[in-house]
Amino acid sequence: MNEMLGNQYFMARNYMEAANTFQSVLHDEPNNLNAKKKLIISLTQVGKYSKSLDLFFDLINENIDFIVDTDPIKDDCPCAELVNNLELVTKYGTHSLTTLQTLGILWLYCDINKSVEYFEKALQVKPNDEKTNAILYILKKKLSDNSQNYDVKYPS
Amino acid sequence: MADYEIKNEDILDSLGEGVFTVDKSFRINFFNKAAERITGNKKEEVIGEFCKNVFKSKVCFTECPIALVLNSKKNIYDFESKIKTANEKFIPIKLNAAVLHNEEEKPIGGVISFREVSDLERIEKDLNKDSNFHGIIGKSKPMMEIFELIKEISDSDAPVFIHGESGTGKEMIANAIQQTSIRKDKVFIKINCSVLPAHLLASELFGHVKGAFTDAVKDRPGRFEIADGGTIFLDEVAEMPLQMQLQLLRVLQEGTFERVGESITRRVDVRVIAATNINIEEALRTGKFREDLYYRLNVIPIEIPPLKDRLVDLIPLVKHFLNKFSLLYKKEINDIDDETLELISNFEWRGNIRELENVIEYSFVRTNNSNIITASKLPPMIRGNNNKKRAFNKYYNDEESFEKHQLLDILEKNHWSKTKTAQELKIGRTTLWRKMKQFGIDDQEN
Repeated sequence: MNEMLGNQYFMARNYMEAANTFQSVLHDEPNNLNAKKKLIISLTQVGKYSKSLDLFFDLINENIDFIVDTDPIKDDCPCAELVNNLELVTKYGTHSLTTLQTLGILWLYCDINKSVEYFEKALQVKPNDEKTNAILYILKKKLSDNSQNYDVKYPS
Repeated sequence: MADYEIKNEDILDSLGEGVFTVDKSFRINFFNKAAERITGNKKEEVIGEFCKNVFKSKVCFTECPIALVLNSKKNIYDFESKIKTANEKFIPIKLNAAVLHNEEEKPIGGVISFREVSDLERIEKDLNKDSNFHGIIGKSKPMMEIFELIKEISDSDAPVFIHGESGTGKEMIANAIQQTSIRKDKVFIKINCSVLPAHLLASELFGHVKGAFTDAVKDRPGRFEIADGGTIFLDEVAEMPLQMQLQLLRVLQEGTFERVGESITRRVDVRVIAATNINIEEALRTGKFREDLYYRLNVIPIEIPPLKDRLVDLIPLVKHFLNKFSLLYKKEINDIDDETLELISNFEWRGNIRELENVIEYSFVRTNNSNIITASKLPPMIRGNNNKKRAFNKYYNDEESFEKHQLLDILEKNHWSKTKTAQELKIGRTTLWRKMKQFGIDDQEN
């Protein structure tokens, strides 16, 4: 398996094949950030939310800018259309932890503030969720770095 | 180094074929002048863009040629596709695709060359005037025997199995068989079995129903259904997975199959022409190719000789390609010098006619301000071959008697007019004189 093939599947929005290919790439090259970045999105589209969340946490812990600096048009990022579809679901009253976390993940590729908004909503559904708390800490720290006035408290 | 790169770009810009390259993210990083002309897109506008956004073809999503090469690890030739031009018009093209690798053999990009089919059809029509048999160039004994066989089987529906090295022209032979057959006015479908992964190949050949797999969003007939009443050409048939070979055997024996994901049995009447370049005996021995399928396909076997075994066809082929490129590039180059002839006659031609065509195109593109290709314009690998001992001389002696008789026949027919004979053989008068001297033929012109 190779990264270029994964890139093609991802570009063609064939998320099943993209997820399989990028997982193989990461198996051989665990530090391949490009593969990880695209795998996170692909996994959200094939129902592997938990694995996607784990990888997302790893990546933002390692280098949050790699996601935040995404240019949706220049980088052909599908997140705008994906969040659009998923937000439609939430309009009909589905506010599960998974849906909110997934929206939080996808929004970080376009807008960090919206991402924080969805992870905070996820926290309302499950206040003691460790991973959501840890993710929010990293996101807010990033916002704080961007703006000195942003108040960041590590979750208790 | 910079000069070398500029020269390469100049060469690519002078090609009649559109050429573009992509990086590993499928962003375009090179776009030649012909690609600009064919697509109507300006180079400056497309560099850095994702290729899918430029060509806007559904193929980009379903059958990306570079993805097919990445999957099969084999380059693609003459792949039929469609692209959208800058003025939103779809045009049919034929393309070749290859993947570019770094030193660690990891894919780092891809290259696609393409031509408009309408251009190709016009040129093929013109060139067919030169050909000896349905677009095929060949006056050597083995090729004449193949043409004779094709004529003999024209009333038959029996399967044909074509074997020949890569680049020998298996598809052209398949075309000739179809064009001379009683099914010539019926549908003719071609598929390369080595290009598609197993799961896609089953769907491609036999069709699928909605929901059969992730991307099966609607029912779709396979190539066998589309070819009903006509002919199907299965190139690289021995590359099929064994399970698929079994399904193919059933179609050949009973004419029946099922679409992927469906239990309804469908019946078709399709004539099968298959081809391969692999060592059949080896494939049968190792179990890669089913013996029962082989015997079912091999009713009429055709063995295409490699170019090194039909060197008497070399000059007519060179002339043919010179004509072709003259039409394509609108540049008049109609001969090669003696040194070039000697060098190409001595070369091994492992890639056969396709390789010869590429070499002639390379030299053609590099030749300016002259209507003769000289040896200095040949690729280095051919020029470097100068000192090698060749199979050609040995072969030429074996074939000498055949060529001598052929030459005598044509001289007789033309009442020993050297001009007319040279014209018919598409060689220069000097070459004709040399050949007559070589074969010990005395001039009988009064």
